[in-house]
Amino acid sequence: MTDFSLPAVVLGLPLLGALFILFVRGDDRVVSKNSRHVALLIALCTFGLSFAALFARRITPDSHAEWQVDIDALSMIFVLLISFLTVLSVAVVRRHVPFCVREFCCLALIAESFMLTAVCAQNAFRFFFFWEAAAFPLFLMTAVWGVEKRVYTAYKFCFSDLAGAVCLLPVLLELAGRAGSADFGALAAVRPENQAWLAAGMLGMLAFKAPLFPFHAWLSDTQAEAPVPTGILLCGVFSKLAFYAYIRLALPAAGTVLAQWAPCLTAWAVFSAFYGALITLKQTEAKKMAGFAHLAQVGFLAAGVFAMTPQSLRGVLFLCAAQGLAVSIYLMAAGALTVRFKNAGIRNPTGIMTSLPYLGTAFFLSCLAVLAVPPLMPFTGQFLIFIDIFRQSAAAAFFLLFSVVLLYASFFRLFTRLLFGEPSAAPFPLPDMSWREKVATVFCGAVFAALSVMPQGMFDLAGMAVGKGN
Amino acid sequence: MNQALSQIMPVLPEAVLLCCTVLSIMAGVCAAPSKAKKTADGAVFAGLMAAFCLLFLIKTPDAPFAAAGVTLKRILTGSAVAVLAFGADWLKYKKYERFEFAPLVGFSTAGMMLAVGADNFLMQFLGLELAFFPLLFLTAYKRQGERSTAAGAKLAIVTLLGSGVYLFGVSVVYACSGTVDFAALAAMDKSRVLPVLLWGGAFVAAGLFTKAGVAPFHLWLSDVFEGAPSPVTAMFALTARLSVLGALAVLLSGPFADLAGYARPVLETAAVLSVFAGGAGAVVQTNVKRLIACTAVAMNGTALAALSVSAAGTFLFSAAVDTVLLAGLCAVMLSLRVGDELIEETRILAGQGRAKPVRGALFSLIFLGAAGAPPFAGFLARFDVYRAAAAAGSTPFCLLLVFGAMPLMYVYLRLIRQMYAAAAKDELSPAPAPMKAVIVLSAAVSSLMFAAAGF
Amino acid sequence: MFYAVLLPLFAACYIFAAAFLKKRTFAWEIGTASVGVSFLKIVSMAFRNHFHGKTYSVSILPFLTLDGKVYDWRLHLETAEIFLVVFIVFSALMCLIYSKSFLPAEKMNRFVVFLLGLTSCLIIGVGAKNMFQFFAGWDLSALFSYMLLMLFHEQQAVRRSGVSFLIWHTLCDVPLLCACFMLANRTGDLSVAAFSPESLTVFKDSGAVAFAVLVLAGVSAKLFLFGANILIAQTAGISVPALAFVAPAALGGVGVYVLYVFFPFVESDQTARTVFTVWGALTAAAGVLTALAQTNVKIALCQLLMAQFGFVLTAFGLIGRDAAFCAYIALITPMTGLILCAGIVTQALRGEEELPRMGGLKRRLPAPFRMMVLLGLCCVGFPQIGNSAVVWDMHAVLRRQGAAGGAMLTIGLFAAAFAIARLAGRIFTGESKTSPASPEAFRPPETQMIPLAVLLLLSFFQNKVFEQSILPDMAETPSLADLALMLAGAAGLPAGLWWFSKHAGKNAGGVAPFFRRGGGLAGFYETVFVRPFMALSEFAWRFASAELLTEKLPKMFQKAAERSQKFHSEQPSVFLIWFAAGLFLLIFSLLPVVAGG
Repeated sequence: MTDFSLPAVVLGLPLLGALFILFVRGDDRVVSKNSRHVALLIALCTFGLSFAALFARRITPDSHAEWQVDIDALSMIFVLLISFLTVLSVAVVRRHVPFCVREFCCLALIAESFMLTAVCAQNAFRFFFFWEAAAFPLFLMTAVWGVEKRVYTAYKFCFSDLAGAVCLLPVLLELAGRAGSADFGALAAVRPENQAWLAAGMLGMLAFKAPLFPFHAWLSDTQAEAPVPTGILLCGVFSKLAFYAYIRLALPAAGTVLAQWAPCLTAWAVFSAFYGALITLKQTEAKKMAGFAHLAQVGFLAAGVFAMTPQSLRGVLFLCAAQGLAVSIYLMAAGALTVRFKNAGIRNPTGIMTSLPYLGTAFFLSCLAVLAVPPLMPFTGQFLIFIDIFRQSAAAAFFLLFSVVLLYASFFRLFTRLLFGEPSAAPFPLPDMSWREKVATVFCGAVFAALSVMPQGMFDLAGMAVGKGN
Repeated sequence: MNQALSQIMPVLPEAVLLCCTVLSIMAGVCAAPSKAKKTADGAVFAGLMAAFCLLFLIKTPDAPFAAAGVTLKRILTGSAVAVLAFGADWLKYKKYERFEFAPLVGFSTAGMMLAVGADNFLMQFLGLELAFFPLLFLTAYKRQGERSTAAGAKLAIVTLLGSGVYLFGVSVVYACSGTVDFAALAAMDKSRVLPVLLWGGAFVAAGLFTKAGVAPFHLWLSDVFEGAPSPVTAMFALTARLSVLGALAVLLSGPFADLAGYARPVLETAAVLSVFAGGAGAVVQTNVKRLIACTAVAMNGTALAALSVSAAGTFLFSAAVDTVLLAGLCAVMLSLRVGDELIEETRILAGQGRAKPVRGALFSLIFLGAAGAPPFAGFLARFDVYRAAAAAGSTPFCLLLVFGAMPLMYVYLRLIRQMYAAAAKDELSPAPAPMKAVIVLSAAVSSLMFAAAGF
Repeated sequence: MFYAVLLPLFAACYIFAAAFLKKRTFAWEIGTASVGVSFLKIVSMAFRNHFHGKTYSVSILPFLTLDGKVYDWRLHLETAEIFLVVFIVFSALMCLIYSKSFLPAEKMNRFVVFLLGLTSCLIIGVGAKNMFQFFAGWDLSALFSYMLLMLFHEQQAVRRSGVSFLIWHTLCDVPLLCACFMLANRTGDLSVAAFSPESLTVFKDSGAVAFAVLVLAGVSAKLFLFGANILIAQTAGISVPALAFVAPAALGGVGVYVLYVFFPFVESDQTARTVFTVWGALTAAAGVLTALAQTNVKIALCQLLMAQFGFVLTAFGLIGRDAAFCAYIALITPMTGLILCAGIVTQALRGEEELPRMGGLKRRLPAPFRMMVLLGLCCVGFPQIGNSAVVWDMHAVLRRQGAAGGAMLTIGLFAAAFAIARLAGRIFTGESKTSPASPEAFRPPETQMIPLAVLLLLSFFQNKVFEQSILPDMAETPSLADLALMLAGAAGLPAGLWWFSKHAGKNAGGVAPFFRRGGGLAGFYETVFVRPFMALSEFAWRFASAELLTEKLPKMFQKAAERSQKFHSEQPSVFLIWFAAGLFLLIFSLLPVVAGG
C-alpha cells in the first residue's frame, strides 16, 4: 500500500482520460456523445477517488497524524471542490458546447488535472507551475467556445492571470532562495526581514487573481462570456486558488507585516465587496449577474483572509467551498435558462415559473444559494467571517452586511422579473428540464443541502487546514 | 604522425565535415546532372552524421566551457541535419535542381563549430566568417527573387559591419594584452589595462550582438528572415544565432571570466531590451517568418540573461530547448502549403485547428512552448533563468524578464485561438515527412519536458 | 411523538413534490390535517409545561462544533416558546380553514405549501438554540411571506411590492446581525436561548443603548415600527388569508420573540428601556394616525396592527418582557379575526378594498359586523377581554409615574378604538355604494365563519388563560381609576361607530392624504437612500466599463508597436542609427568603470 500513491492516481486519471478522449473517432454526433460520456465517467471516478483519499487518512486533529497520502487538509478541501465541480462542468457540456466537444472535454480534464496537481503539490514551484498551466486550457475554453466578446475577455483573463503570476514569482524565488528549498514546510519556517515586499507581491497576486478592485474586470466579463462549463471551473475554483496560495504562502512568510496592514487591507476588501455589489445593481442578465456578484463574494473572502484569525480563516476556507458550489449551481440554472431563451429569440423572458416550473424552481433555489440565505452553506461561512471582522471593525462589518443587502436587492429584482408575471410569448413551446438536468439538479441540491445542514465534516477539514498552516 | 593526429583530434569533426563538404562540391560538379543534387546532399549529410558521432567520441579539452561547447556542437550538427532535410524537401517542392544548397550548409555548419570550439580570437573570427559567408549566398539563393537578393544584400552589410566591429575590438584587446589566445588572456592580470580592455571587449560584444540579433542590433533579423528562402530562415533561427551566442559564452567563460562583474549590467540590459523588442515586434506581425525572427530575438534575450548570471548549465538548457522549439516553428512555417504555394501569412492558420485536429493540437503545443507558457518546455527554460537570476540577487531584472515575456505569450495565444475560432478557408496540404517528424518531436519535447525536468 | 410538531414541514414537502408529479394533491386537506395535528401536539405540550413544568429540548441533527461549543439543529421550547407556537399554529389553522372558500382552486396548492412552510420556519426559528438556526427561521419567514405575496403575481403592482418587501426585510437584517455579532463577541457564544445571569451584564450604558437600537432596527420591518412602516403598503398586498397569518402571527411572532430573547440584556439600563418606550409610542401614534386617514381597508388594519405593536414595545419599556409578550399574544387572535372579517367584506364586494366605495353592508353582513366590533373591543383594552390585563397593568405603572402617561395611553387606545370604529362604520353603516343587484344577505361560507367564531371566542377568554399562565404578577396594585381609564379608552369604539354612522360618506381632508401616504416617509427614503445608491451604481458601472488596464493600455501598446514597425521597415538606414546607438550604449555603460579605473 505504501507504493501505491492515491494522489498520483487522482492527478493522473484526468490526464489519461483526456488522452483517451483525443483518440475517439467517428462522425460528429458519435464523437460528441462518447467524449462526453468518457469525460463524465473520468470526472466521477476522480471525484470518487478524491473522496477515498479523504478517508484514506486518519482524520484526527492531532498534529502528528500520519498522512498516508500526499494531500494535507488544506489541499483536501480544494481537491474535493475541484473534482466535484469538474463533474458538474462536464455534465453540462451537452447543452452549452455545440462544436468540437471532444477537444472541449479534453481541455476540461486537462485543466482539472493541472489544478489538482497544483493543490496537491508540496513544492511551491510545482504549485506555481501547474496553477499557471491550468489557466491556458481555461483561456482556450473561453476564447473558442464563448459568446460574443469571448476573445477580448479571454485575453483579459490571461493578462490578469499573468500579471498575478508576475507578482507571485519573485516572492517564490526570494523565499526559496532564503529557505534553500521550495518545499512548503521549508518555506513556512523562513522568517525574512523584508516582509513588506513579499507581502506586496502576495497582495498583488491576490488582487489580480482573486480578483479585487481595481483589477476585477476580467472575472465578471470572462464569466459572462465563457460557456457555462468554463464559468463553473473559473468562478467555482480557479479564482479560489488565489486564496489557497495566500493562506499557504503569505501568512507564514509575511504574517507580521500583514497583521500591521490589516486595517487598510480589510478596508480595501470591504470596498471591493461593496463596489462589486453596487455594480451588480446595474445588471439585468442572469449570467452576468453571477459574475458581478462573485466579485462581491470574493471581497468577503478577502476580508476574512485579511482578518487573519483562526476563526475567520476557517470561515474563509468553508466559504470558498460553499461559494464554489453555490455559484456553480446558479450558473447551471442560469445557463439552462439562457440557452432556451436565446434559441427562442427572447431577450427579456418573464413568467418562467408558469411556463417552465421545474427550471423556474431550480433557478429560484440556486439564487437563494448564491445569496447565502440561511440555512444554506454560504451563510454559515459568511456569518463566521463577519463575526470576526465585527470584532475588529464594526464599520467594516456593517459595509459587508450592506453589500450583502445590495446583492439581495439585485437578485430579488432579477428573479421577480424572470420568474413571475405573464410568460413570454415563445415561437415554439420551450422544453422544461430534461431528465439529465433533473438528475444533476437533484444530485447537486442533495449534496448542497447535506453540507448546509451538517457542515461539521467540511468545517473540521478547514479547522485542520488552518491549524496546520499556522 | 601521431603528433599530427593528436593535433587534429580536437577539430576532427569539423575536418571530417569540411572534407565531406568539399567532396559534395566535387560530386555536384562531376556527377551526372540528375544525380548531382542527391549525391551532394548525401555527402554533406554523411559528413554531418560523422561529425555528430565523432563529437561523442573525441576527448573534451580542458578549457572552461569546453564540455558545454561540445554539447552546443552536437546541437548545431543535429539542427543542420534538420535544416538539410528541410532544404532538400523545399528544393524539390520549388523544383530547384541546383546542388549548392547542401555544400553551403555544410561549410556554414563547419564554420559555426569552429567558432564555438575556438581557443583564440582569430580562429573564432575565421569560424564566424566561414559560418556567415555561405549564409549570404543561401539568403540570396533565389537569384530571381527581389526579396531574397535584397535580404542577401542587407545581410552582407550587417555581417561586414559586425565583423568589422568585432575585429576592431579584437585588435584593441591584442593591443592591451599582447595575445589573442583565450587561455593566456584568462590567466593574465587585467587590472593595469582594464579600461581599454573593457572598450575592446565592448566592441567585440557589439560585433557578436549584431551577428546574433540582440537588441538594439536586431533590426536586420526580421527583414532577412522574411526575405531568405524558408529553409535558410530555419538555418538562421536554429544554428546561426546559437553559434554566435556560443561564441559569446566561450568568451565570457574563458578570457573574460574575471570581467563578469562588468559584463553583467551590459548583458542584463541587452537581455531585457531583446526580450521586450522581440515581444513588441511580434505583436504586430502577420508574416510567419518575421514572427519567428521576433521570437528568436526574445529567445536571444533569455540566453543572454542566462549568460549574465554565469550559469553555463542554464544557458545550455535554455539554448537547447529554444532550438527545439524554433525547429518546430520552422517546420510549421515550412508545412504551410496550399497546393503549389508556400504561404507565409499567419492568416492561413485560421481554422486549421478545427479542420485538422491532430495537426492543430501539435501546432498548439509548439506555440505554447514558444510562448513560454507553463507547463511547456519554453517556460521551464525561462524559469531556470529566473531562478538563477533571483538566486544571484537581481530580482528587478528577473521581474523585467517576466514582464517582457508577456507580449510573446499574447501573440501565440492569439494564433492558437485563431486556429480554433472559425472555419478554415484554405485546406493545407499534408506536411512532408521531415517537417512532420520535427513537428512531432518538437511538440513532444514541449509538452513532456516538465516530466523530465522533475516537476 | 415530538416530531408531530414539525408535521407541517413534512406536509409542505409532500405537497410540493406531488405538485410537480402532477397528481391531485389534496393540498388543503393534507395541510389542514397536518396543522391540526401539530396544533393538538403543541397544546398538549403547553398543558404539560403549565401543569408539570416540562420543557422540551430535542436535538434533531448535529450542526457545528465551534471552539468546543456544540451547536445543533434543535427544537428548544420553554414556556414562552410553547405559548408562542401555540398561537402561531392556531392562527395558521384558522387561516387555512378560512382560505378554502376564499382562494381560487389553482392558487390553493401554492398557498398551502407556502403557509405550511412559513409555519415550519417559525417553529424552527422560535425553537432555535443557536444563531444559525434562528436566522434560518428569520430569513426564511420573510421569504415565505414573499412567496405568499406572489400568489397573485400576474399583477405588476404585486411584483413591485414583492421586491420592496424582500429588500426591506433584508435591510433590517443588517442591524440584527450587528446586534448578534456584538452579543457573540461579548459572550463568546452563538446561542439565542436563555442566557446565564453573568452574561446578561455584558452590555453597559452606551453599549446597552446601541444594542437596543440595533435590535429594534432589526425587528422594525417585521413589526412595522416607526421608520419601517412604509412596508405596510407592500405587505397589505398579500391576499387576506395569508395576510391574516403573516402580519400578526408570523412576522410579528418572530419579531416579538427576538425582542423577548434579547431584552434581558438591556433590561437594567433605563436609557435602553426609554428607547423602547419612545419608539413604541411613536409607532403606536403613527399607526393610529395613518389608520385614521387610510382608505384601503387592509392597509388600515395593518396600520392598526402597527399601533398594536407599538403598544407591545411600550409594554417592554415600561413593564417588562413577560407583560409585553403577553400583550403580543393577546393581539394575535383579535387582529387575525379583524383581517379575516375584512376578507369577508372584500369577497362580498367582489374584491373592493377602498372604503369610499363601501358602506351600508350591515344588512348584508350582520354577523361580520358584530364580530368586527367585538374583536375591536378585544384590541383596545375593554376590561376582562382581549389584552385588558396588560392594559390594566400598564395603567398602573404609568399612574405611578404621573397622570400624563395614563392620559396618553387612554387617548391612544381611544384613537385606536376610533379607528376600528371608523372601519366598521365606513364599511357597514351609511348608504350602500354597491349596486342593489343582490339585496339579500351575502352568506359567508362556514369555512369562513367558523374560524372567525373560534377566534372571537378565544379573544374573549384568552385574558383569563393568560392570567393563569404567562401573565406576570402585576407590578403595581391596580385601582378603580385604572379601570375607568380603560373603559374610557375602549369607549372610542362606540363613539366612533356613532360618529361615523352620523357622518357617513365624508372623507377626511386636510392632512389626511399626508398621513395616508405614510407621512412622506417613502419619499424621504427614496430621496436620501435609493436615488443616491442608484446614481452611485451608475457611476461605478461607467467606471467599470472604462477598462483602463485591459483595454486602453494594450491598445496603446499595439498602436505603438505598429508605428514602430512601420517606421523601421520604411527607413533602412534606421538600422545603422540603432547600431550606432547600441555601440554608444555599450561603451558609455562602461564609462564609470573606465573613469574610475
